[in-house]
Amino acid sequence: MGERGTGSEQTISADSVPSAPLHVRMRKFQGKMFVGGYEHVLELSDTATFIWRKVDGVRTVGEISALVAQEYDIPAEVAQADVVSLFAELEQGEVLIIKGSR
Amino acid sequence: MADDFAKVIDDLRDRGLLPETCESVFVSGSLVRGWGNSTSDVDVIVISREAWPHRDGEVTHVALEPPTLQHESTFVDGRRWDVEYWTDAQFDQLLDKMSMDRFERGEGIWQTLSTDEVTMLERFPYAVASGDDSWLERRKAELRASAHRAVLVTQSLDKAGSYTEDAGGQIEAGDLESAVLTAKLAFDCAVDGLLAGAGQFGSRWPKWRARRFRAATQSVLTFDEFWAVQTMRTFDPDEPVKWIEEVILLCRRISMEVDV
Repeated sequence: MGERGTGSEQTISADSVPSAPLHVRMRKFQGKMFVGGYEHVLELSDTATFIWRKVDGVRTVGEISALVAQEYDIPAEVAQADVVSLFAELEQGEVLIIKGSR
Repeated sequence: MADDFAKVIDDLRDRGLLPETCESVFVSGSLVRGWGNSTSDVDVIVISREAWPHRDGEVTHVALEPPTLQHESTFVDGRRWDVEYWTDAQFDQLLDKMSMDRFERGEGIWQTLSTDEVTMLERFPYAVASGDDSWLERRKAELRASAHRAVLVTQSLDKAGSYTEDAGGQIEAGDLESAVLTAKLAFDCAVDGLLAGAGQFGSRWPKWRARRFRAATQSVLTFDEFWAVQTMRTFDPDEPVKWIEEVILLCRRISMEVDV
């Protein structure tokens, strides 16, 4: 599935491409989104769910951030910071893989 | 349609196939749904207070008490009838496995469901009574109030997830033919989960998946998207991984959209 990122926000750039490993399960239960790997199950907020839905193994962090900025009418740099922060957390939870760049 | 099956209970009695302690007789399956044809069997279920004694018919095993179901078959007007016998107590136990409280607490007792139990759960909502329908309607209401739908959705989506993970491992191992077949299985299960979410149960009958799809009200997947995968319309034998990835993306879309 490609090289793993190092898991820290500093290494996730706008060109990084996130993807969900194939063992990751996702479930919507009573309106809430849950993603789970081998050891961790994470409940996503509404915003995190929006971001998660944009992960397709092709879109870059920058492209996803632009969609977030548009959706929530927030500055691009704020959106990217939020996206990077979320992805770092998800990678640490082993439900996301970050490839360096496309 | 109920008129078509009104005589079933009388026909069973005439053939010595109706228990004295009968609580309900109902019919389910493709003929009830209007999908049957000249070769379709009539699926009859009999509920009684006491177990139907085993005769020459088939016996299948369930994770209930008593642990078996008796089956009889007969022919009526040239059509085969498959008659399955349950006790009222067995149905109580099945319903208990569907308890919403237990499901929400994460008690996995529903994972002990046997094949026949899943079959009953999937065809029960479409059943039509022959004779008195009070038992059937009461039980349908109880099932609707249970975790029945959530369990059937979860079962299918869990299978889809397992197959998706398998496909990934097969790709990594270079076993692309197996990965293609596994991706197909993942999609089938994901669609069954989607359709169960829309109240169209029937994972035990993949042959009716297109019918169930058309009967379902949902906006996650179009029929064209579904049929394109089922017929492998975009599959290129020289680029199987591309097709597998497309299919897995659809499976994931379904997993994210179906509310368990």
